Amino acid sequence: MFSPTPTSNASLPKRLADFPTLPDALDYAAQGETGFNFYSSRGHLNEVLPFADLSAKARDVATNLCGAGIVSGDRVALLAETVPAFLIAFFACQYAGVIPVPMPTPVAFGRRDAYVGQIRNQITSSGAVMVITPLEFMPFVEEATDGLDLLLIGTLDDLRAQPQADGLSAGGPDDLCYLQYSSGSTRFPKGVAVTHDNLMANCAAMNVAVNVSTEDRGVSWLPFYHDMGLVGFMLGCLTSQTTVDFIPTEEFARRPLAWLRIISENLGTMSYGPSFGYELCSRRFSSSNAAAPNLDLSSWRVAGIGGEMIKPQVMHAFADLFKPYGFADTAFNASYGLAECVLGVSFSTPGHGMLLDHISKQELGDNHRAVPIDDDGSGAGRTFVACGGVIDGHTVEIRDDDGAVMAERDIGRVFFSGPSVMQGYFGDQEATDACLQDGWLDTGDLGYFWGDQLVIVGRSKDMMIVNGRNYWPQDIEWTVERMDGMRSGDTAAFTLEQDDGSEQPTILVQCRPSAADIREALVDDVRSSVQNQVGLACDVILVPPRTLPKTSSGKLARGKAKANFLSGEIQPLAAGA
Amino acid sequence: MSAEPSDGASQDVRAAVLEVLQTFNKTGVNLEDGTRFTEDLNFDSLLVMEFIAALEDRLDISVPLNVLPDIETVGQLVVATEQIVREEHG
Repeated sequence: MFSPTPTSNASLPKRLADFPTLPDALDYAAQGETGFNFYSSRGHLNEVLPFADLSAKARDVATNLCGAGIVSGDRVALLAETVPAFLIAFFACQYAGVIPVPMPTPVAFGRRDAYVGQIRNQITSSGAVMVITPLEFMPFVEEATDGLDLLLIGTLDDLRAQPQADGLSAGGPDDLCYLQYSSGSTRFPKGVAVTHDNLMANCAAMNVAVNVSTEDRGVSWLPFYHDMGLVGFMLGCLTSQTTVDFIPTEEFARRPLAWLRIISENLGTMSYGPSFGYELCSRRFSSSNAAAPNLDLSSWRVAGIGGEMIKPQVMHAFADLFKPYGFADTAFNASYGLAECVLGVSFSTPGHGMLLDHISKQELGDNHRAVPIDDDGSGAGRTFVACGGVIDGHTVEIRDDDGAVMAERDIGRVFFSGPSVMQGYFGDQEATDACLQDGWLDTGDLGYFWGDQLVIVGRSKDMMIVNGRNYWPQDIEWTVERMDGMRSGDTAAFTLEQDDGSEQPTILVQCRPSAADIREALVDDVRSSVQNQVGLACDVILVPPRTLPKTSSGKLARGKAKANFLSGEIQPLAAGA
Repeated sequence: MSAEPSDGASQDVRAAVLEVLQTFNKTGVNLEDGTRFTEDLNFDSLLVMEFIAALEDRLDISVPLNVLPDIETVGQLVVATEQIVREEHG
């Protein structure tokens, strides 16, 4: 019979991310009783990993890394399943001064080739010399590493079977701490490179922003291959010696109510998710008619929302549904961030709930101004959720296209500077220079200030976020343009924003044939290719040849294509009969 | 629990898979062995998980994630499910 780690340490004083490096943070946390717990979606406690055990096991495995021939600064790719083995390998890398690269696990029917291609791209882009994976994913990893000359491809146990040797030591504050691949496309991956200094600066600021105390306990189902799961809960909570109860992401997706049950049973206080995570809970709770007499969510102090555009009506529905179970909507904490800034950029004040700004659609579209209007139900406005104030020690500027700083309520590009800003994209100077200049990061997002509140209205870069997952238009276009009869430059993919804040993936396809049945078949083929290769349900719209605009260098002008489509300058062809 | 899976048991698994799947079938497509999850049934990754949960509850099994990337059709799912049922319920 074993029990989860306690919420508070008996005597070890709380320190909030004031450590030079991540190994220092773990060494300190290891002096207490707190740690990480791993639950199944049926609420079963599978494994308990106190920080003390994590530290001891990781130190041990660090000697195997050395014995396997790793040298300081090498990259090691880790399939980031929500299990202790991933954390042990991750921190073994830290103690050995090598750079872990968390990689995704497969989650969908079919699409084996797409998944294998994605992890192969990440392995080659990072130059990883070793891949550590759970046994069940070994066939995918073997296929993905075919022809690559690596030191080891295997499980944590395989790594432990390597000879032990000393001679590697942890990196310093200026050394890279990890690479994160959630921001690039699957075809053209970009690894966000972050130092220990960057990480600590962001963790310290986030701990302050949400008032972390000895009473706090995290609960998380977010994957370790995304910044919110990796930094928000695994690293952020470790740097404040905070116990976290983890549920594997795929188990959450199967049985989302496990999230709420664990918060209830363990008196969780902090938990985050994108809007769709809350939506999933509401949907399942309503459809299951689950009577939950023992559910008590009153301990939940910070119900964080981030990772995609926040849908206020989804959050209201969740709050209404779970109010009888002690959930207070004042716990909602809207935030904004991105991996290029480690994680967090702005946070709402804990206990204040969501702040809504209802602004004129016309002013938004025509003049790029956020002009508040009454929400009279006429549809003339759109409601945005304020993402809180900028974290301590960092600065956000809203700039126009010429780089000039804009006034309050003017909508422009969001720039960020401060000690959390990444070093760059690993091994990709061109991509780094495109977004990082003089210490200022172009986040690629569009927003405005409302007093000290940062409000995000959309993205100027092309990334699509659907149900919390990131997709890149380049991947969709590349897929379609490889089909028979298609040419490079024949397509433009983007999302169309809906009034409820969701985004509909859409692809314009230049179509030469005029026969109705051929057109109809083309629409079906494009839709199923995108569904199969990218895993996204896309609206397919046929347009006449030579209507998609190009840049002066002959590349697709994606933003202009979207604008021309919305303005009616590009007219859709009739798809079929 | 019987030691050897009989044809009868195998028929039961197939029927259970199809019964659960039918509740997730929003396209109205006929469910046959060759029916594809992504192209024909429009399953996205969320719906896949919701469906797997229902199937697990129906058959009292646990479907490991690593089988998913190799399953593209209903027939492949039936075969994989039969194997899981054999392993877990002997």
